[in-house]
Order: sequence, then structure tokens, then C-alpha cells
Amino acid sequence: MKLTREGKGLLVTGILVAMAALNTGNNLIYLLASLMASLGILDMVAGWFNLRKLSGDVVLEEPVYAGSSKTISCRFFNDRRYRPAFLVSMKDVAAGISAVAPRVGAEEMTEINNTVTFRHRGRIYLSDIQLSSGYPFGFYRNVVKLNNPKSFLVYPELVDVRGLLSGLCSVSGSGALPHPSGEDFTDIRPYQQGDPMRDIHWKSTAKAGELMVKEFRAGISRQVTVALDTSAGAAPEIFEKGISLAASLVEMLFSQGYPVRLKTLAQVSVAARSREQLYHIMDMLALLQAEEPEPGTLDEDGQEMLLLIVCNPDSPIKKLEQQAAGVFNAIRL
Amino acid sequence: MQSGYKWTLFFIVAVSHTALLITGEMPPQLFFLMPVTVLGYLALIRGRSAGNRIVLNVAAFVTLIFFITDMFIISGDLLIAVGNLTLAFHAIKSFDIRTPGDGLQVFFMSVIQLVVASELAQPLVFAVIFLVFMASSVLFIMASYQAEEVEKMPRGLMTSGVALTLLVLPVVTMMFVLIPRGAGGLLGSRNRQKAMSGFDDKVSIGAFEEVLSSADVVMRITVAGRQPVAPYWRGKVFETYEQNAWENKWTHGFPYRNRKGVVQFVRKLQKGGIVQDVLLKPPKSGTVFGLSEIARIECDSRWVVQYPNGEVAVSRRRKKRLHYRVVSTGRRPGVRANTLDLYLQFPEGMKRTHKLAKTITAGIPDAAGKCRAIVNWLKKNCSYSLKVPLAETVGNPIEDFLFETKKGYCEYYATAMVLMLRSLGVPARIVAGYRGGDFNSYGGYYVVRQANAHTWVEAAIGPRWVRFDPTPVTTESTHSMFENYLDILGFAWDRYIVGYSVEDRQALLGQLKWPGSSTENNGVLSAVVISLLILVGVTLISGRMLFLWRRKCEFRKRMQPVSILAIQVMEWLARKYPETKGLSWRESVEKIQDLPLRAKLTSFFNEYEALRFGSGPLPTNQQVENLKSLASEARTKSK
Repeated sequence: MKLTREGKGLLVTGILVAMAALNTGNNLIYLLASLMASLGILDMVAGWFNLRKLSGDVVLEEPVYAGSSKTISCRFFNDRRYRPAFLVSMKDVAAGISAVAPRVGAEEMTEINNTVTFRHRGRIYLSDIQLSSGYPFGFYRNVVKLNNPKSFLVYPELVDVRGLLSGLCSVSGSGALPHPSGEDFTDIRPYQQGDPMRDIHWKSTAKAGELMVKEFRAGISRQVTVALDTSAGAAPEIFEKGISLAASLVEMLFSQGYPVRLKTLAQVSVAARSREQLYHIMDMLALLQAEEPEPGTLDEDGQEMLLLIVCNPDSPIKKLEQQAAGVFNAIRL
Repeated sequence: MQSGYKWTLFFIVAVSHTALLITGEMPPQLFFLMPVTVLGYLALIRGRSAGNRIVLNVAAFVTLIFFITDMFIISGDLLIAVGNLTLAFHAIKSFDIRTPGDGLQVFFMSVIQLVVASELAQPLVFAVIFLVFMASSVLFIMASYQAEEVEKMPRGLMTSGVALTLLVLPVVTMMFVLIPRGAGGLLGSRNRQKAMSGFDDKVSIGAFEEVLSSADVVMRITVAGRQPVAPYWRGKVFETYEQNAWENKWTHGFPYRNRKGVVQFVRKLQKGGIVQDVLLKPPKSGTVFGLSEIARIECDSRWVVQYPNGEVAVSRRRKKRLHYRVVSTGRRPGVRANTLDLYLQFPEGMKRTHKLAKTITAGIPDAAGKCRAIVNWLKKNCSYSLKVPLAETVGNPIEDFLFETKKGYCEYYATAMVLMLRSLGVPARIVAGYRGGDFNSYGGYYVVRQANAHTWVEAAIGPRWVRFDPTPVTTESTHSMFENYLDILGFAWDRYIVGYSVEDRQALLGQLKWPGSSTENNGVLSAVVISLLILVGVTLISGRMLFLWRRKCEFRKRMQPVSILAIQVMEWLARKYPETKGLSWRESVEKIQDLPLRAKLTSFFNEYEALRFGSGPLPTNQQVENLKSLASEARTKSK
């Protein structure tokens, strides 16, 4: 229970009136003091009853990208059989979530939709989410902490990289970034987990009785690797810019049909052929911190396309510059 | 902000302003601010934007400077200055209401205004004002909070507000009764109540005129058992007459320390005493009024003093209403022989009066006869009138009354008689008090007004002081039934709200003891309270048990078909697929190779789990039917 600004006003006025009553012995002033005290007591009791058997939940439609607004649904549940609840708010200061339900009917659920924008990537914990209400008079705020800890990931902010990618194609010509579709396939093989649905050869699948996928021209891989410099020397804002750029490249390439994977100094993801795998890469990026190089991660990967994002001029990742189809310097962007 | 909210705020301000106005104590110089306040609120209601902040801040600063000047120089009175300050701030704030929080500040200012008004006056109309203020406050504060949280008032909030308003009144009553009382006067406060009853220690001839013209209620007296005929509520006794004024000479009496709230002046109280419960408006002195002769008094004063002339006075810390109960014997006061000289004092230069007295009483040997002769002469030769020349203009008002105008009121009649008796050597004195009063047959009490103020004569005849009233009886006023009922309300207001005391609180709480725990406590109230508590407790417990039992029955009735259906399906599954025996439904379903059946069973069990263990309401018949059809579909698929 928290005393509000109005509650402090009541307290100060109440004390003044009570002092005047004691000082004068005037019963009418005692009556006013009784009124003030009664308002305070009723506010406390009615406020407690208002939040009784009330619970709540927050539902957020994923994926959530930093910097872009998202609809968040705050659900209020009233398990009481008879009395509705009034003016209940749900708040999580750390997560920046706030919603007010004017009325939650008995045995009803009220959903309040709000738009929320997260400024930074990372894991958002909803462990501090609480229901509160100052009903009926707003002198106190009764607070109930919700006991259903939840968390979700906020992916890095997406920026427009179409210009960067088109520039890359024009510079490198047809060999730099092969077109993801419309090419002849060379073989048909059984389906492996992660193969895109569009590569399934339905005719062969029907004949074989199991899923068969097309294999494309040998020697030219369509897979693109985005290598991100995660060395510790980068300035935080440059580092974030690099992550944002990596996420945007991965997202854009995936949407264009390229199997895309992420490589950092210490981690290598699987190539994203499905949306789940894309989100796996986004999960990585959402939680990415500065890393020390792990042996083997910076080794050459054959003939796949490599896009390099450099955040630190002295980074060990710069040794991949030679085989990179494109190098983006986060400091200059 | 909604229009209803603004109107309620305006209403609250109007109520507190009215309270301040009807006290009649506020100087009218700042009343021009009230129309300004009205204009401010009308502008707010019409949706005009708030005033310029700089102008309003300057106005507030000027008001504060004015307040300090007012407090120390202009009125020199803190209460009046605070009253003026609230008037000015209300006017300024009416143009500066931007958020619901501002409205709440206005409410707190109105509370302060009511505090000031309460110190200035306490008429019955305040009962209505307080009631209206309380009710509107609850609704306003609620609307204020709602306006701060959401724009539109949710459905049902107004009903809830009305319920809270009804609830706040008993809670306020309870708090009012239970809050510990004290009147410390810590900050040197003084009560602003005007002393409006009783008499000073010195009464000049002609001073009664203003008093007798007033219809203000002085006291209400409930007489237990019987109604005394022509009651004379005896109060102050005056001994000496000098320079056209009567003066009380007894500055010291016999003090009694009032430890237990009761002081008795006689060793043994005779049966048949007349018990009078008196609620007196703030009196000028501590003198108590009652029928002759007061033998016992119950009051909250620390000291009670009995003077040799029979007058009884109580100590008072401040001018406030006096509530006491006296028991009178009904006998005439006894004469103290050693004080009789005092009652023979006769002013010089009144030989004509002495001559007249001798003429009137010629040939009458005894004192009682002389008294009767003078009474008869005064009643026969003089007429009652409140229009008399000013005492200062005539020199000797009594001789002017006796020989010139022959017109006067009780003070003139009684003084003339006392002086004539003293000139003849009969000890006599003047007694000031109240005569009669309107008997309110609905409330069973006397309403004594200022107009009932009276002076009469007591002459020492034998061992007793005998009362003589030479003033002709004037016509008694009559009051309608409505006026009587209104007066009952006024009595209740004065007695139980304005006059509620520490003793009342103790008496009330004392009644809450267990029956028989105290010899003084008859336990009637406690028996009622305990019975009520038991009744409420039993009702609550039985209500809760009934509710739980009904809920259990309802749960069983609605859930049984769902549970039975799930058991039937599980049993059917175990019969059809023996390998699933003893497994949970999930494990069982996983063992089934028939994919359509698996899908059907999964949807059946998911639905079952939602109905049986979900947080939603109890399953409806339709939902149970749906579940049954899912079960039968699963079985059919299997066939």
C-alpha cells in the first residue's frame, strides 16, 4: 500500500483539522476530522476489496524488435462471483508496460491493448509486474504483485539495408551474391531437417513415399554467412549498431530466400532455412555480448558468400576480409 | 474532466461558502470575491481554458501578503483572516483548475473553510450543510480519482459511489463517537462562540431590553417526572444597588472538588426532588440555572461553588455549551441571619420611593403583607413595556418608573419592589433567571429563550426567602407543531453533536461492558450490541456455509457428467488397447497408431481438461453435450 500525492494532502489536512479539534474542543471540527479519517479508512478497506481475487497476465505478440511498436495485451481476470473491480492498473516500470482497466466485471476477463516500443534489445523480464488500484478515492494505492514471472526477447532494431545489399550485387556482379531461386537443380536427395519447403520436389516425393528435396548447382553455394565482429574493444554504440546491422542483413537475406547463418567470434549458428531457425539467430543476436575469439570459428567455410561486419579496427575478424563478398564497417555507417 | 465532476466541485465550494456566510461573523468587504468564484466555475463548466499562470501566481502572492496584514492589522483575528484567505484562494483557484488534483486542493480548502465556520457559529442549519458536504465529498473525490485514471466513467462506478456515500455516514458517526476528546487549548486558541445566556455579575437598569427582545434559544430543560407549574429557573442573585446597577457581592463561595462528576450540597437527599437536565448555550458566567433549591449537581466541571445566597456556579475553562443535571428540593432558600444586613442596603437620594412604600403599606404590620401590598400596587398602577427612556437620560430610572412614566419591564418592577421593601426594613434581594419557557410536548422539554429572561424578588420572611413577582404576566407565545419538531432537531444537534462531551463518550463506552461487569452499568446497550454481534456473526457464518454447500452441490452437479465421460473413455481405451491400461491419457494416446483416432482423442481430452481443470466458469450443458459428441466421434472412428 502506497500513499499517493492526494493521500499526503488528506494526511496533512487531516492532521491540521485534528489539531484544530483538539485545540478548540469544537465538536463540529471533530466531525470534520472524523470525515477525513473515515475517508482514509474507507479508501483502505474498499481498495483492498477491489483488488481481492484479481489476477492479470501480459500477452505480447512475438517477434519483438527494438525500436518498432508492438501491441501488448494486458489481461485482467476477476475471479469474484459478484462484485466488479474498478480502475485497476497493470504496470511494470522496468519493462515500460502500463494499462488501466476501467472495469473488470465479476467472473470476467478484460483485455486492454496498448502499443509499446522497446528501445533496446535483450531479455525483458516481467517479474515486477503488478496490479494496483487507488479505488475508490485515490489516497492510497493498493498494490498486488503478480506471481507469474515471464520473460521475452527483444530482437535488435532492424534498419533498412536494401541499399547496402543492392550496392553489393552491383559491385560484385552475378558471382558475388547468387540469386536464391530460379536456378537449375543438379540432384534430388532425401529431405533433411532445416531444408526449406520450397526446395521439396513433389513429384519425386510422391514416387518415393518420403520427402525429397532438390539440390542446386554443385560448387556454388547459395548460403550466405553474416560474420559479426563481437570483439571487446568496440564502443558500445558501435557494437549495438553492428548487431542491428547483422540482424537486418540476416532478416533481409532470409526474406529473399537465402539460407543465412551468423558467425561471431565465439559462435556459429546453423543456416536459417526456416523461420524458427531465423528466430534462433535473432535470439543469439538479442543476447549477444562482447566475446573472445574461439578457435575454429574464423576458419574458412568453402564457397559460401561471406558478409563481414566490422565494429573494431583491431578485431581478429578482419582476417576474413580477403574472402568476404562485402565488408560493412559499423563505425562508418 | 467531465461536466458532472465540475458541477460537484462547484457545489462543494458553494456549500462551504454558504457555511461561512451564515455564521454572520465574516466582514462583508471581501464578499465581492464570491461572484468572481462563481464566474470562474461557470467558465470551467463551459470548458474555457484556465487563466494565465503568471497573473494567478501574482494574485496568490498578493493574497498571502493581504492575509498577513489582515491577521495582524486589519481584523487582527486569525480565524477571520483565514476565512478571508480561503475566500480569496477559492476565487483564484476557480480560474486555475487544470487537473483533477487541483479539484482535490479546492476540496481541502473547503474543509478549512468549514473549520473556520464551525468556530464562528454552530446553528442547526450546519447539520444539513455537514450532511450535504459529506455526501458530495465522497462522490466528488471518487469522481476526481476516476477522472485522473480514465476519461469516461465506467459503468457501475456511480452506484458504487452512492453505496460508499451511504457507508461513510455510519463510519463518520462511529469515528465521531469514538475519537478521544480533548480541548487542550495548546496554541492559545479561544472559542469564538458568543456567550449568549446568563447574566454578568453587574446588571445595569435597562440592560434587559435587548435581551428580552431576542427569540434566541438559551437552554433546553428536560424535567423528569412532572412538569413544574410556572417554573422560575433561578440563576444569579444580586445584593447591592448602586448607581442604577445591581451587583453581586459574593465573590467567594464554598468550593466543592468534583471528582466523580456529582456534587451534593445536602447530607441526605430527600425523596421527591425535581430532576432537571439542562443544556445551556455558552453562558456569560458559570452560574447554573435550576428550580429552587439546588441540592445536587452532575456536571463535567472540576469545581462547583455554592455561594451563601444559594447561587451555584461551576468552573469553566472556555465559553462553551454547558450540560448538567440538577436536583432541586422545591423548597424556598433558607435565610442566613448573619447576612441579612446586606439585603437592607438602600441607595441614598430615594426618599420619594421610601415615602411611597410607607403609603402603600400603611397599616400593614407583617412583612409578608407589605410584600403583597407592594406587588398589588405595582401591578395595578404600572404597565408592562419594553419602551422605556434610557437610564442615563433620566437620572434615577426607578423613581422615573414609579412616579413619571409608570412603564417598565421586570427589571424596573423588581428593583422598585426591592428598594421599597428595603426602605421599610424588610430584607429583600433581586434574583435574575428565566421564567417559564415553551414546553415542547413532542420532545418533552422546556425551550427557554432570551425573551424568557426575568428578574423577580425574594424577601426574607421568617426562616425562608419568599419569592414575589411584581411583574404582570405577559402573553405566552405559541409554536406550531412544525416549529416544535424543528426545535427537537435543534435540541438533538446541540445536545448530541455540538454538546457531545468526554463524559458522553465514557458513558457510551461504559455501556459496552459485559452485562453485570460493573454495578453502575445496567448493560442494556451491551446486551443489544452483543446480541447484534452474535446475530451478525451467526448470519455471516451460516451464509458462508450455505454458499460453500451450494457451490459444492453445483460443482458436483455440473462436473460429474464431465468426469464420468472421461472415465468411460479411459475404460473404453483400456478395453480396446490393453497396452494403455494404467497409463495417463497422454501416454495412452501416444501408443495409438491410428492417427485420426489419436487426433479425436487428443481434442476430447484437451476439451475435458479445459472444462475440468480450467479457470473458467463451470461447464454449461452445451459444453457437456459437445464433449459427449467428441467422445462418441472418437469411438465411432475406432469402429
